[in-house]
Amino acid sequence: MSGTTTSPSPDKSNIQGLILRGYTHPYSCHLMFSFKAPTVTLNTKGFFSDLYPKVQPAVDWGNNKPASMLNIGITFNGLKILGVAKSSKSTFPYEFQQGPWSGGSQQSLGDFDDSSPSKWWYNNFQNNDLHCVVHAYALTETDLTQIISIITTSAITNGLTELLPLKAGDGRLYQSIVENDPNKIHFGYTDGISEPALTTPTSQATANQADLDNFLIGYPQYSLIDPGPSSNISSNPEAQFAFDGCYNAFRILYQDVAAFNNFLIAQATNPDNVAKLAYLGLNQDELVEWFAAKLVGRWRNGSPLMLSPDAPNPATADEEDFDYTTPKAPNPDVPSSMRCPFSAHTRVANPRDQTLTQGEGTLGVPRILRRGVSYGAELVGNTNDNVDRGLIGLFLCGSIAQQFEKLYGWMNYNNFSPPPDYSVTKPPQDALLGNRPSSANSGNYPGVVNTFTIPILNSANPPQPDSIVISGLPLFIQTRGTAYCLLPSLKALNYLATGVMPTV
Amino acid sequence: MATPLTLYIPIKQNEIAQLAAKALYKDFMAIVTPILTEIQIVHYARLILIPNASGEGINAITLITVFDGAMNPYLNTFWDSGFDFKALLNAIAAIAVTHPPLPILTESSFENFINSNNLSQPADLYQAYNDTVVQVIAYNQG
Repeated sequence: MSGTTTSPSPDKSNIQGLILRGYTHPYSCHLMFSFKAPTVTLNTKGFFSDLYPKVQPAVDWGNNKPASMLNIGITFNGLKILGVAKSSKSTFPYEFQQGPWSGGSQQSLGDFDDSSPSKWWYNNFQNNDLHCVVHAYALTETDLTQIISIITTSAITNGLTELLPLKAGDGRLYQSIVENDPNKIHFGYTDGISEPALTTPTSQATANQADLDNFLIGYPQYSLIDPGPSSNISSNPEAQFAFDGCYNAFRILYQDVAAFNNFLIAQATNPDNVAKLAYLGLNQDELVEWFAAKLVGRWRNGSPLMLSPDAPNPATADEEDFDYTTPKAPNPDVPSSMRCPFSAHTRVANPRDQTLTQGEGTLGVPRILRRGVSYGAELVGNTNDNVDRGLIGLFLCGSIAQQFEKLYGWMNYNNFSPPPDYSVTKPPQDALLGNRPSSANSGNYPGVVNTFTIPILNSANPPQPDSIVISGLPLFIQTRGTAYCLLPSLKALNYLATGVMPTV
Repeated sequence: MATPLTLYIPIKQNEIAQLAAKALYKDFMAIVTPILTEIQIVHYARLILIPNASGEGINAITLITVFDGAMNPYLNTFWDSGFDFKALLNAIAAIAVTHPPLPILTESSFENFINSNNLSQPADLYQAYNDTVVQVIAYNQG
């Protein structure tokens, strides 16, 4: 893992398209299958053979956007049944082998109470029984119906069992469009901003966390993450199969939109808050948006508070060229909190140049590729209508532990925000996505507080700082289920369809 | 949260491995003290040589530690701590009865070697206090 030559460029025709680009198809469905076949003979080769022609690689499709296409993820249990992964002494990463419900992964994910793995998927099926997720995308509803029919017909023919993750409708995970914008999530924010650049490093000195080799398996030369299995590839069939693959932490999060909207209104109408923020000259609706921006670190249109502190600005909506430190300040991380609070979601998930504690290591802030969409009907008004809605999260990474789980751990326990307002003795959680622990499990997060502190100016003496401290942050999300999948290369999928092992 | 790690590694019953185990025991504190002091997530750590039932020779090397943070992502902190830790790990693996291909150079090989020899689960830990190392240090500094 040293040298100064350019890292080999991956062959885009061998990589599933989802890894290198986010799709903008307005229709999608995420179908889940088990390879258990109690009544008929299982024929996974037939299933993958039927689906292979529709798998979208990462090559540019030019002006001919596919009317429908799919990508495929397989869990470790699925790979074992397929004969790809060994039952013992597997070289796949431990967390991938164990699954997201395992004790080790749950230390980071913190799925307590109603989010507990024992309640995932509405108990429609067992976590261990999920073996394959097929992500189907289409330009029209008709196209989506057709490709779903191709997939499910093949599944039935070849003895696979479809697993239904939801209670509503037909139980499947369909994409929904919020505010007529495929990039909007139910909380009203534009998602998908600030993605890793996926650059190809040319030397160890220029290697960084946003490089492609931290997401694709098999390019260890300059990789900071070194996605595995990658060692001894010539003698390791697991590494040969995994080459050019990527992991997907597939996570379904219910979003309590009514609770979120009412929380914002409560803050915007709280007399103490209104008095403290009078110097801003904002009306109630504008204050709602101000609190929404402080929770996330970006206005709902995407404008980062660091660049547009006073109001959303279309010119900065996609901007990500900013940092959090003020070099000559006594504590370089603190001044920026006047614009973006420490536990704002985007700052926790990507603290950029902010100082980390020694225990976080020296490799910098890990990154992930987000390919999520919304599910469930939009909420009308602010009253809970008991409709299931939320996020279909596809978090792509080269190491589930070092990227997805590490960032998720920070969201639940952000222990590197600096004093004096924030301290290692009273660490906050991500204001939007933290799983708030109950008293029974608060010991997992020593000293954690459920307050959200927003630094502001003192309205009576504006140069002086003040703060709004919101106590009792509500729980805005609930985990419906999580699966760790490998998105294999096209050659690896062809192996599953034909039995011809890919050569690397 | 604190995570227990009980690394139990049976070693080869030959003279070289037995001598190497004794040398590792002797050098352990000098090697790990600067590393663990720097990363500030380890509460306690010790290396033990488990004798054979016969009383003759060493059966296994056992590393017992408790550290802050989740097991999966924070194993990386040790791996990332520098050459000395990697050398120590490879020295242990070299005398292990069962080990991955040597040297261990990749993070995933390291993680799998540790996890396949770890006898503790996250829930297997009594704690008299929940504070993290950095919290304890902060309290002590007033």
